[in-house]
Amino acid sequence: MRTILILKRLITVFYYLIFIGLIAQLFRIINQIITGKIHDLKPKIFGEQLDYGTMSLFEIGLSGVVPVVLFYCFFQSLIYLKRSLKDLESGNYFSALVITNFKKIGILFLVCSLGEVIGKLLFFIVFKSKFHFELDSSVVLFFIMGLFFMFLSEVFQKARRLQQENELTI
Amino acid sequence: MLAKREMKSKELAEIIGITTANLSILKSGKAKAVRFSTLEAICKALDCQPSDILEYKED
Repeated sequence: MRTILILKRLITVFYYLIFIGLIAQLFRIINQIITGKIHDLKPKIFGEQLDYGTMSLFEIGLSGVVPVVLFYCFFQSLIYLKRSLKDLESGNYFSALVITNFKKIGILFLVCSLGEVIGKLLFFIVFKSKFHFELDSSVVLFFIMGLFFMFLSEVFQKARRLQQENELTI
Repeated sequence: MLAKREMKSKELAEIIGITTANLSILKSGKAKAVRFSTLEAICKALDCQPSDILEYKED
């Protein structure tokens, strides 16, 4: 049971660190927009340095869509994991919440993985005018984790049925 | 059978060693399965055969 406590603490710390980072980034971007220095931003998207000074507002917006969607999926999956840990910590392993959350996490991880591959492909075609296909370890790991969470959800669903059957065996 | 033996559910539950809630599940037919040990205990307590307390009904 100590592992679940360590996991819960780690995920909570990670969640708040990401949340604080997100707020700080938002303030920075809003500040740049207000002061009219949006073109001074030189963000790195998919490992490529973009110069907003040479890009139109439409292109700036377009370049941010995929990373924002991917980040949203990742952050949302972290929220689902954080919520599931409450039930797991209390020993309620096969609750409906855990089963549905694990399935959602799996789907979101798959979206993150496939979204990064497709997003990267489109990004290089649109902004760099070149075909660039890359399959790094994080993409593969997210894909495997996504499938694993979905499988785990199915296993937990089966376990829930068995648990209910066991409870109704008198 | 309980009425025939003039026994209350609570008494039977105590004799066979299950909770009244579980006995109620058994009586209402909501149970998924019955352990042989439970069936044996009930039959022993009520001095009857399994066929006296089990009945098949088509859904």
